[in-house]
Amino acid sequence: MTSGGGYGTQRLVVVLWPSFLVAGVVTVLVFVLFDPLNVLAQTRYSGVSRLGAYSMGFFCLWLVTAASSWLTCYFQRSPEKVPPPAANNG
Amino acid sequence: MSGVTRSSQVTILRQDIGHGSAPMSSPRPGGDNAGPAETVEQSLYAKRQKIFPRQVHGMFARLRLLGVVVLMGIYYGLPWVQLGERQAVLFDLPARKFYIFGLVFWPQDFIYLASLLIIAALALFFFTALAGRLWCGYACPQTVWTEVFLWIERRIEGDRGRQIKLDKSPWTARKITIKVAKHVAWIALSLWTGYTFVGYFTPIRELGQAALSLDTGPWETFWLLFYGFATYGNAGWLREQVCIYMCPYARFQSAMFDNNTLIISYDTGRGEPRGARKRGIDPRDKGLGDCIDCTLCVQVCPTGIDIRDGLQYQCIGCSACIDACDEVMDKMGYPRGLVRYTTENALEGKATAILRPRVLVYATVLVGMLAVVGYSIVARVPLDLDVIRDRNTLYRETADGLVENVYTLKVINMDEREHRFQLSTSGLEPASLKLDHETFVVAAGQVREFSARLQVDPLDLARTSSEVFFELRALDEDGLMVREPARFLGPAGAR
Repeated sequence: MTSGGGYGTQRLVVVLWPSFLVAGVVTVLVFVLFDPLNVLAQTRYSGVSRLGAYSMGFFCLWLVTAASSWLTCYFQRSPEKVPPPAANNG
Repeated sequence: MSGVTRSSQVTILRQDIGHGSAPMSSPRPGGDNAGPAETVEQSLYAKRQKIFPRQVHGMFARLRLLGVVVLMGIYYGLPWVQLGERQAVLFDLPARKFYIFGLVFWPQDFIYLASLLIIAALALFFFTALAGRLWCGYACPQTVWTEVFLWIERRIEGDRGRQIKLDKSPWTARKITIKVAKHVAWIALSLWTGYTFVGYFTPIRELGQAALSLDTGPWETFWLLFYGFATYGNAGWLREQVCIYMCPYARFQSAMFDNNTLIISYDTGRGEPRGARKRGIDPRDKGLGDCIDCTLCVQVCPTGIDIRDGLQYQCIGCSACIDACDEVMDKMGYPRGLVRYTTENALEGKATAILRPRVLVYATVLVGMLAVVGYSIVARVPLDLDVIRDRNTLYRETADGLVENVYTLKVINMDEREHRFQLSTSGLEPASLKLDHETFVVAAGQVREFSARLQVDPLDLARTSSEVFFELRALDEDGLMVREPARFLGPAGAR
């Protein structure tokens, strides 16, 4: 996928940046609806502070949105460009 | 570049504006179409030619400086303003409360945040339709911080010419010293920016004391460094790339443009054919237009474009080229405004209508939203009541043969002072409400939970599930009351 160094960096930015924006918005919405202290009270993460929960929540959401962005990039490649199975064996 | 290519490029760009897409962002359907344009974009994204914007003086530069000073003053100064015992503006995430001067917002008030974002979007639409990318040119944090970083760069490295020379020169001790000094200054400002940012969420004075003893909490430290790094990267390194590749607004802003939008344009009719000439001669004698092709408009451009190629997606509307050109026109003794704020219609010699339906509609909706949100904030009742029915039992019968439901009540006093409250019910008569206390006090900004029992004679129940309203009323302030619906369950077919 990364024939040139610049191309790989660009792919990374293309995946990370939009997912960062969406993760930020979703983090706000999620934590307006749910107080992390209430959600985590019954779990083994009950010792986590709110600020910690917000931060980790944000990074978890970023991971999820980045995965989605990456899949979009992955499937964007047209089927014709996927190398035939024989090429992989060689 | 020949005159023919130039004019055709202008036409293409104008079409793009009409369709609301820009040349750089147009999607390329299919993998087979990956032509030269894509190659250019990729190479641009990864490696670019560094832009050294020349410093500019003039009316718009002064306006932008004013914007920088005012906005930076607000950003860096606001967290230090105290209101009584607390920080005047504090988004207290750990306590889930936002303090904005005299107002306290709770998660329940999320609607105001949503409305604020809608108002911001509408304002953006309004100003873009009116005069293009005013936001980008004068108020966007990216522009404002880049201006400050450019200022630091100029103070340390010198003007544009010196910067270019320094970058081309070999790595001598002098060059290393200058570069290190610049980055140290940038990083210091970035860290202060990150510290201020976290200061909006954690009381900034306490944070300052903790920072001095290197004792900030792990997450505060993380976000301080994260925001500091973002500032350093965006304003120091990425600069115009943020506007060109990363900004969502830049991608669709042209959809709000029309032929009556004030945009920064080069007057092709007056300027062309461009060319160098001696001062004092009449350009018409040499068959020249007013543009002396000094390329100052290109040198001052922070995104590195040539405004004479027509309106471009990369143009952030900063007006630096207007100032630069006006200065040159003054020196040449030509009238100002070869590059100016004007409309497509005006350039084509047609009448310009500033107050057109699009602008009026945006303005009406904007003012309407502002009025509604303003009124609802003023009329906001700083009191909330949650009624949760006991889920474990549907109902129970008392020794007297009454049906009893148990509720958990959550009273949230969002006001800045404590109140004494009284609870009553309505909608289900006659009912008797059993509480531990007749009246109770909830302190300022506190939540109080307690249970209540409601008893009703089964003969008065028409249905198995009836609606009942809990009314909470402050005894020490008129009009401070809330009414919350709940369900009352009882035996079927009692009557």
